[in-house]
Amino acid sequence: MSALCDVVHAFADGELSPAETEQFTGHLATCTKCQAELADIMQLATAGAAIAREGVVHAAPAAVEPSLVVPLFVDPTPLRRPWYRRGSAIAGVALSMAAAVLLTVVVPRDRALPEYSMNGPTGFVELTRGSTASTERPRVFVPDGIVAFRLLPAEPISGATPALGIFVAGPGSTLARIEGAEIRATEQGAFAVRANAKSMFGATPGEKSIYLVVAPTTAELDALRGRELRALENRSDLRVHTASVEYQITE
Amino acid sequence: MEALAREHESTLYAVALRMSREPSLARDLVQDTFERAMSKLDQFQSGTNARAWLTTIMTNLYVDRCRKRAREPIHEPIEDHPAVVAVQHEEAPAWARFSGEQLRVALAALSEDFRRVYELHAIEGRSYDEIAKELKIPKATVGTRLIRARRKLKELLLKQGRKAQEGEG
Repeated sequence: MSALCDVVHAFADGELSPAETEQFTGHLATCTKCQAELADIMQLATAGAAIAREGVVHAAPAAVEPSLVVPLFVDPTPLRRPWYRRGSAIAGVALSMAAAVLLTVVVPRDRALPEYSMNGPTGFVELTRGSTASTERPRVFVPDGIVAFRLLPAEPISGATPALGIFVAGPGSTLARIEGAEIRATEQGAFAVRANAKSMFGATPGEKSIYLVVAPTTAELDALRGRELRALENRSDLRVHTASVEYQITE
Repeated sequence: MEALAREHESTLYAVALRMSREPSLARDLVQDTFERAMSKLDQFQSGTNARAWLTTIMTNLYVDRCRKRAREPIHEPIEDHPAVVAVQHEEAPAWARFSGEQLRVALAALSEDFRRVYELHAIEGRSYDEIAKELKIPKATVGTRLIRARRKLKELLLKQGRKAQEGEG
């Protein structure tokens, strides 16, 4: 055992200087202990990288069905238009989550989303059907760029060509509509959504609730911009599907 | 093999690049890994863990390169060397044949401090410095937590593997 054995992890992690790397690779050539340690590190590293590629960031609690997982994907295609208007006022009103229908969703893990060309998913939303407990918010690591995901409302959305809007709100903030979000109905009552990550979630890590609002016409959606969350309550003409996440944008 | 390459190339490259910090070297290493895998494809048991198998090949190739370099004058380009010597153990160790799901379960069993550092590093690809800043801990602590997280993960994955074997038996 040499003092150089201590740096095998830092070496595998690319944390050594070029001179240190040179010195260590010379040592690695002959040290079977470091070779074995490196082999272990590499196995965990490729498995971790594979998880990152799959977009799964943390373990699903045992109670969560595997299908209740929404991958967030990166789409390398740049958006054509900048956008995004946030609600301006800060209000201290929280929507009673019990009053909202949970956005439940979801994509079986083994199913791809053929409608987008994905270049490495890097985050995911994990939602438990029916759960709105604030302590159970999934953590989401969202890459900066375009994210695409699919939503499957708990109840089918019916009616003649309703208007759909995605809104977000942080704790105590008003509703901000994601102006550039593309929302398309797909098979089985699901919706494919594509939006800019920072516009969707905001650049500062924290808690955010996402609302898929279904309204009879776009006028109702327009009227919700900048309103407090209670504007969504007791509205028989709106269907609101919501989920809360703890998010963090990664560069 | 094409399917294997499609599935694992970016993963192997990410890890090789992190270690070597040299894109061309990482690309070569991954390329050589698939070439070797192709030549040994008959030894690969279908249905076993291809990621673990390819990782073993890549690690062995890298260590072989280090051996070659250690034996030869430094100024001689490594490309001039004949093909690397035969790798002795290309079978992935049993503990490494875990699935992503198994790793997620093991990760969930780590204490929060270790899991957070591990996730930031292995999954988000952050450097020690970035993690230290994010978590407001010394850089050296990031290193030690990573080491402990890895050792614990291996231990947990070994246990999972044993349980699975007992379940089958």
